Amino acid sequence: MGFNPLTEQGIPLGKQIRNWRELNIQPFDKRDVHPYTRARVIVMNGIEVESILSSHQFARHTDDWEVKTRLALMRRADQQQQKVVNWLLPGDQSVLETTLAYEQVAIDLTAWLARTEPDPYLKQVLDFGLLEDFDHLYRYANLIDLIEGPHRVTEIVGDLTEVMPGRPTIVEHRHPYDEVRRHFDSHTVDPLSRMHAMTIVAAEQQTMNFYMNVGPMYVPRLARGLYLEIAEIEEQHVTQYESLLDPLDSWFQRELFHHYNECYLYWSFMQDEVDPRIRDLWELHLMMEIEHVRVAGELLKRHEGVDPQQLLPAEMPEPTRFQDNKHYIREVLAAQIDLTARGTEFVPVQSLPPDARYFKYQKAVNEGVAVPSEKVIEEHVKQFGHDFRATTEGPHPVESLRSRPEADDTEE
Amino acid sequence: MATLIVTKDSGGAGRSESMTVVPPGSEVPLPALQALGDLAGLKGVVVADLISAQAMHARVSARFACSAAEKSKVGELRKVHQALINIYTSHVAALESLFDELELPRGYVSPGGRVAAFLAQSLGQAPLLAGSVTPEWTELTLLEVALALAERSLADALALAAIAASAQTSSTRSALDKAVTALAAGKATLEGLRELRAHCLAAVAKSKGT
Repeated sequence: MGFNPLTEQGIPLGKQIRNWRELNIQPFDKRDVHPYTRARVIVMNGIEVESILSSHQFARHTDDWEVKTRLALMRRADQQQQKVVNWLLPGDQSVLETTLAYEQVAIDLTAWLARTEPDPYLKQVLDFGLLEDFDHLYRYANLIDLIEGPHRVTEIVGDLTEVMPGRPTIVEHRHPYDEVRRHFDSHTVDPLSRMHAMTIVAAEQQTMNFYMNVGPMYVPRLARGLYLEIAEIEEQHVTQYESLLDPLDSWFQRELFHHYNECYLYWSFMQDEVDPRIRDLWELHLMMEIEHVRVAGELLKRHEGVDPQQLLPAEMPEPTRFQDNKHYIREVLAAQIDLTARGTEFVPVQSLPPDARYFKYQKAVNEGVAVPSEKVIEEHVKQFGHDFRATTEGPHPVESLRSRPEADDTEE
Repeated sequence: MATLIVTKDSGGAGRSESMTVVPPGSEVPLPALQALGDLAGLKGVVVADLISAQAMHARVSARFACSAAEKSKVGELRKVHQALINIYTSHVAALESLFDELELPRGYVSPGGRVAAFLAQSLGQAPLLAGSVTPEWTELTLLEVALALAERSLADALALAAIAASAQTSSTRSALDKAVTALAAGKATLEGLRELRAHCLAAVAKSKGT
């Protein structure tokens, strides 16, 4: 029998509050942390933030004392979890280094979710976003080379994720109407699909918020421009991914699903964590979240008459893992590089009529100005004689994106 | 046995509309929906949509009654909510049997079924404002919601009877007639909620205090 938080004993809610010493945790060393440990830290921060914000929204829709106070207590525990998780990031990790790590998360998390997604439409949505985040890593990698000097990229992402162009950021700018997607139906959705959608919303929302806030902290105009341009794409991605969630789910159901997904990810990440100290942290938070699932389930039962056992699967699906996705990404690049969106569907950009709103939006933001995501590559070529790429699996699968003969099989 | 929560694991099935995605294995094909109306001279897709909407309304109503029965502190009212659990559960069972006879999945949640569930759930959210009212009024709120859900339920039974009456003689018509009879269960209790509400409000109006 697989793992089911409803049959496990967690840490009682009243015993979850930690003191400042416990919260102000020793960060990892950016020089020796495994890139996927850092990725797991970033994901769990995004997951906790999303859970906290959703709980706040719920609290703003009720004045029931019992509901508000239970939410406040669980939320405080979640806030402490978020602090401990995010405080694992070291202070000497620059904003751009963190940015590269965020994009590595966006790539290898999205690729894993897409590879394991049971629903064909949801898989297509993930594949679509994947190629865009893949390109963002390439643009930021070139920027960090210009601003902080060489070798920073591989220090952060290792050789686990290739760095080369994806769907070029300049063509990713679409009319907002073309970012809205169809959503799953709560009565038929596979539990794994629901968690995939919740996880990617949390991860992309975190990236959107990060760029919205850190973008203006750089002095060079090019860096400020690149952050704001990619922050706009993250807005598109959050619009896209949040569309996947069924609006029929009630507040109480959402509260339960958030904590269930937290359980699922702590449980998943515990299994692969190579840092014993951080593995213990995932386990501790899992034990806390088991209790949150129980409490959220109690609220659901009392206020909606729904037994959480009927709503949740009997056991958790296969764990979510960070793994090398190079071959998968190359396949998606080769097959889907020219896709764009038209309404809720994906079509080759060549199939759009000349008066499509896509072209009007492209003209509104790109025409007659230097586009930062292009400019950063031009500047890199100007300074170093070529763009920055880190590839291990041969030439770029899309011929038109091979910039120079040697660029696709060597590191700088 | 009636299913009060429809999920993939409990046999949920559906039909995609412009904004919804139903996994291929869970999608009820249009020809199957159309076929159920053919013999009876009815639009099968519409009939299935209505049955699903009624089933979803009954499911949410049963769940609300469970919650209200647990929350109510007035013995007499708690008994009413408990009776409503049984009535709505029997309605769900009757409508699921109807789907069985029409050879559709009993967990079929149509587009109209989703909206019916949303409507009923929205009514059930009223107690989230419990902090705005006195405990006495909270008790009344549970009754108000129960009444609103009951009114829709009575109207659903009438609508299904009208559809059955308009159907041509066929196996579909027979199945609809059977369901109409089953849905009559608890009618007196549902109708009695109007009077019960009036009685409760009158009692509150006469009570001492602010």
